[in-house]
Amino acid sequence: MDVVNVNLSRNKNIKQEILKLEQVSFQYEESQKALIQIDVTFYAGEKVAVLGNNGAGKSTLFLVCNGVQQPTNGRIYLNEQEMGSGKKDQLALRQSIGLVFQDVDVQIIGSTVYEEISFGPMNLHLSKDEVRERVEGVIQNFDLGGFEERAPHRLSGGEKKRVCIADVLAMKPKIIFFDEPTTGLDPKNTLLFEENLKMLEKQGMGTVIATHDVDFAWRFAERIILFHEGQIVGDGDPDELFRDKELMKLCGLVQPMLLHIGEKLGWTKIPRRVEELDI
Amino acid sequence: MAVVMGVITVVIGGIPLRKYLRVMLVPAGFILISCLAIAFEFSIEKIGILAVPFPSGYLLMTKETALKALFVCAKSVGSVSCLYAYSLSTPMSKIIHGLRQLKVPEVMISLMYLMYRYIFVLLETYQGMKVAAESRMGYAHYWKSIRTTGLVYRNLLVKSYEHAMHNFDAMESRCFDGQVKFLSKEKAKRKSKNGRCKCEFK
Repeated sequence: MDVVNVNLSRNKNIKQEILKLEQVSFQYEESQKALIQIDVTFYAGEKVAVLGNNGAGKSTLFLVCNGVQQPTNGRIYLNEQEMGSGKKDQLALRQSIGLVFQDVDVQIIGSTVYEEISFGPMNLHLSKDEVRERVEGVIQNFDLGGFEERAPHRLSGGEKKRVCIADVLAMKPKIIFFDEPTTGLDPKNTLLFEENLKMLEKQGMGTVIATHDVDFAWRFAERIILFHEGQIVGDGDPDELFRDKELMKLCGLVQPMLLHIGEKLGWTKIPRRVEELDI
Repeated sequence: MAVVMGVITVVIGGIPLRKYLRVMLVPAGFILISCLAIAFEFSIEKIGILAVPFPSGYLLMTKETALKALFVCAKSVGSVSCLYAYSLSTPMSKIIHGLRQLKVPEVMISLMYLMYRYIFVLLETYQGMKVAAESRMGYAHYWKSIRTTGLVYRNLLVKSYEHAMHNFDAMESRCFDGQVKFLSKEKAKRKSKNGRCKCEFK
């Protein structure tokens, strides 16, 4: 527990606000409210997990943060500047807040990996040299060398996911949002994905991940946000929120395995990873 | 011409002969049927070089129709072989890129990119649905399989609309502004595989 608190306080000192949502509501149709008065702030370099049952509004929140969906009510601030519904502000949001979609086939549209990664930067109206530099930089940094001319439909699930992250990285965002990134990946590819996250962490990139995997959230997140029926019902330290059994029940979640065992055995310090166990 | 193009595709292009013959077989079937339709005419009199008795007349092949059929056949096989020589040796992205440089309208270019990518997604979804239907005895007998095929197609349509909506969101999230633009890898840096990429047709 001590380790966690040290991490949190260290980040508090250098917290730089990137995105702030104030009283944001969103409605798909008249009858159905997807987001209800959301107040949330995301900071640079943070590792956040967003949890909640299916249809709780996680994906909608991400689309609103990314500027693809316009909030019905409320205000969005990017770098402390209010964003309107104008095209320029929309583009600023889409560029600064990267979004990796759950279904890789929804996101990938290029006919080769190289082209696919170039799609975002090309839309930013950069010079060809700049686009080339970004694409090749991402390919190198993200260990995609040798894949450049491969067709996306010939890649494995994990490889496609990596391409999708590279897609977004090439646009140089401030924070990357992932919508259920490990759904449909086998354990090996899930590990690979976590390696990718470590790479992002080293680059100081903030990551916000929607997930159902509480064990993953326990391992990864320094902050969790709990969603229930379009509302945020918890936002803070995983160690505190995951212990709240009532809250877990409300959100249709279970406690992470390590926390569960640790509580039963009365450990004072509960590790985030099995490897950290000192038995 | 067809033979020459065939030899070029197989020898220089490095496409296996079996694969080449297999892909040529599909259009060959169509061409054969259409040429037969051109070659034969219906008449009540028995004239020409070949006459097959038919209720209330004859199916005839005259010298003229035979020549015409032969001409059409040669022309189509020739063009199809050219098309295959091009499409088997050049990646789709390069073909579309070439068309863009020939000033083909942007709308068509964008559509071609999207169609090419989504053909594979559609096929994969279709295969999945078909297997799922098969596992529930959906193709047990003739009438049932016709019904199942209809249902699968209906689902495919609904799913396509849904997918298109999500896909548009995904494109917008990467600042899509109405034109599908990509950057291709520079040619000089490209590594050629089995010499296939080296081969170009003018």
